[in-house]
Amino acid sequence: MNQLKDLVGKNLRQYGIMLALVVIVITFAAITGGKLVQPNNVAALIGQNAYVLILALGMLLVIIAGHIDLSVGSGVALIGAIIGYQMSVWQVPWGWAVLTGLGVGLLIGAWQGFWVAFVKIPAFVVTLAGMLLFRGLDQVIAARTMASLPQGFVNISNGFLPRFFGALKNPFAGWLIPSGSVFARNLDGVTMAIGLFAVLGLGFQAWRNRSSQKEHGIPVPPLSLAIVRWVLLSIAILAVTFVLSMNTPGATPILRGTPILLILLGILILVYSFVTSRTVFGRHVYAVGGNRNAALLSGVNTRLTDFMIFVNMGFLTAVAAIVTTSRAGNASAQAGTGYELDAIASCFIGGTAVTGGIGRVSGAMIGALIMGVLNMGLSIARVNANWQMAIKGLVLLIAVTLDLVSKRRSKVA
Amino acid sequence: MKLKKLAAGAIGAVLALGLTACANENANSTATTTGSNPTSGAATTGAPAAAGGLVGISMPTTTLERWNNDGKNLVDKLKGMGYTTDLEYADNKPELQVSQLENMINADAKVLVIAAIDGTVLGPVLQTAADAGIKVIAYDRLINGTKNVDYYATFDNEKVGTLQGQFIETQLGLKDGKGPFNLEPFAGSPDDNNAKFFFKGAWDVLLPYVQSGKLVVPSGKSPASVDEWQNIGIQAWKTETAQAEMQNRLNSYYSGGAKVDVVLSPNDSLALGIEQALQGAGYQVGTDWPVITGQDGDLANVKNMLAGLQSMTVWKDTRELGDQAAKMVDQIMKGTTVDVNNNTYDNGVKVVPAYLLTPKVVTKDTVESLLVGSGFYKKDQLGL
Repeated sequence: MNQLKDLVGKNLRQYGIMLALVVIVITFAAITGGKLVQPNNVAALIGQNAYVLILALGMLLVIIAGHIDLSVGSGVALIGAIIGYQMSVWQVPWGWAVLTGLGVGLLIGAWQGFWVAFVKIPAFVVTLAGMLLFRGLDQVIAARTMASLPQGFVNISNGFLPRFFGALKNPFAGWLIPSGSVFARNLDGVTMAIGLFAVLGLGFQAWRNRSSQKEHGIPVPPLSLAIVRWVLLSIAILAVTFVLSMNTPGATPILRGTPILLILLGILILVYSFVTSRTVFGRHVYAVGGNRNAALLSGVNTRLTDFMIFVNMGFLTAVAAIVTTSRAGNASAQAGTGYELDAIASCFIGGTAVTGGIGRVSGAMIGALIMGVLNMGLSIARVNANWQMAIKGLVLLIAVTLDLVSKRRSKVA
Repeated sequence: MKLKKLAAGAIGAVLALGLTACANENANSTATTTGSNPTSGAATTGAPAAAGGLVGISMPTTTLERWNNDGKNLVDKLKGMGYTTDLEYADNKPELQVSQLENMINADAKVLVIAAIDGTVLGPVLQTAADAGIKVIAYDRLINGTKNVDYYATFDNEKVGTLQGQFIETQLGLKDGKGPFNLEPFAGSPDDNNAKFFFKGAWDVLLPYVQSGKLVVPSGKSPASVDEWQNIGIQAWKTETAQAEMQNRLNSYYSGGAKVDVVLSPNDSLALGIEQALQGAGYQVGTDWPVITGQDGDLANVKNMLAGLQSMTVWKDTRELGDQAAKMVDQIMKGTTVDVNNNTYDNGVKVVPAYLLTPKVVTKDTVESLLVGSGFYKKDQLGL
């Protein structure tokens, strides 16, 4: 019995912030009369928050290792300006512009990594300097907003996967959902297939983890609990893909399919979940952040680890720049302002420790989505821009407080 | 040790570079200082008539194209009238601007034309100018907190909104009783005082039609009065915020098949985001693309106008401002009455007599005559 209580407590702790996201979604869905969860808004949510999700992946590693990066917003602007300039002034093919953008991102990361890892300048100072340096250079290059970017490039963030499987009949239309509703549209086959694939993959992964833990004599939670967990997550994933598969351009019933961005994000999230939990580099990051001296004495190359963390951040900054510029369809000097704080906030909301050493990819992603849902929900609910900021501040504080208090309580018990 | 010194030096250099770049942001085209509070004030000068005196011109920075043009234009005009000029740029540093002004005063300038970097720090140096009997014209940006500013030449911000509102009125035929049309209004940054004037000008024209039902706002984001403009403000004039906001409105309030007919956008950076959102929602030029307003004549937006994605932009021809300032200098020098047309700009100490210029409406058809003809853009920049 005690064991069960312990298990439930542990899981609640882990899923506390996810619960907060669910509560926020339900609250705003209610306030907006269901508008928040309409298919087109769900698709828009991905586009509006892709940059935070991407940057938070890099920021997570930075913060776990006990650093901070204030330069990512300016980095996004500078790389966006470089990409935009090449495409609109030099008319280079967009694929080339994207590649050079990624290259510049790696250079930026190496530059900051050099100062942090080898010269031992605090990351706060290095990246504060970077924030000013990159913004200045950005304003030189993007003195004028550069628009009319090539369609292929714009499609990265605004395009959709080809709809190989056509449309499926909505099984709920007509009886559970009235046929005129936006939720009664046909379903895009590809989107549903991806959702199904995710559900099966999740189950397979959980089963493999479980058997490998058993093999190594690590105690595992009861099978029933594992199944309940899988079923709940599956319902959530299928519900999201169900709604998303009905997204259309405007009020028309023509299906658009899966946003390309969703695939890009999915791949990145999978890769970084793997990197943080399964690779030597990932474990080194946690070790360095948890106790730098202990890590050093255990033979971890802390310098190289620090350097690579920033190179990685530079790379993801470039990816975010590509996505942001593509979504806007233009490169402007003001792009990316405040992105660093969005990424940092997502990590902290998602349970990353300010002191380093602790943090999960899933947490940071949920943190980013909480902010995104708040932004969209407050906008649809017609809340004044000034109050939107104030309310966001309070909700963030409450969400993190609830999360931390529950963690402390379960630690005492 | 050596490396540490090197690093410190590098960071110092980097900081200096970055800070200079940041300061340039202050010179945004939609960000000039304004004030309100209507009172009255006389507008004549007692300066002695003396053709050929020295005119000091103090401009913020050479890093923005517009100030280079402003300075050159003023010098050309004034030289043509027979005056000598001293044009200085202060690298966006307020203290440098103060010392440059001191030098002009010592050089016996008769009139100072000042585009202030920081409108609040010039009090002491302008007192010196006043003691020497020098007249001061605030150029584009109001100089605050001193009685020693004699005239103010700028563009009429409220008129920007009025032009946008009237454009919508005529385009849709609201005066002829046409309608109802679906309108989505936007306003500028809630922390920018100018944004209020832009919105007031437009809403004074459009609100009666909203009240009579000829304009409908399906999103409900329709301020009941001008004072509630912040409800629909876009923080920091950000293009991406406007894009997300328009996307949310389209997804949430137009899912029943209604179409947007007109968007009131206070400036071009917002219009750019709104246009991107409309494209994403499947709106097409020539069939259901709405009327969209703008301001500033930004290059990307002018290109969009040519492609039919934006209906108009309100454009401030800064050379007209230079012409007006030169005229005021001439009138001061000759001792005649100085032209002013507005007595509402209160700088905290006094009401500064002002001459407000009317901005111009540019549409697809007048891009070439107004923007290319004036040299604001070159033909190949616009792909014409």
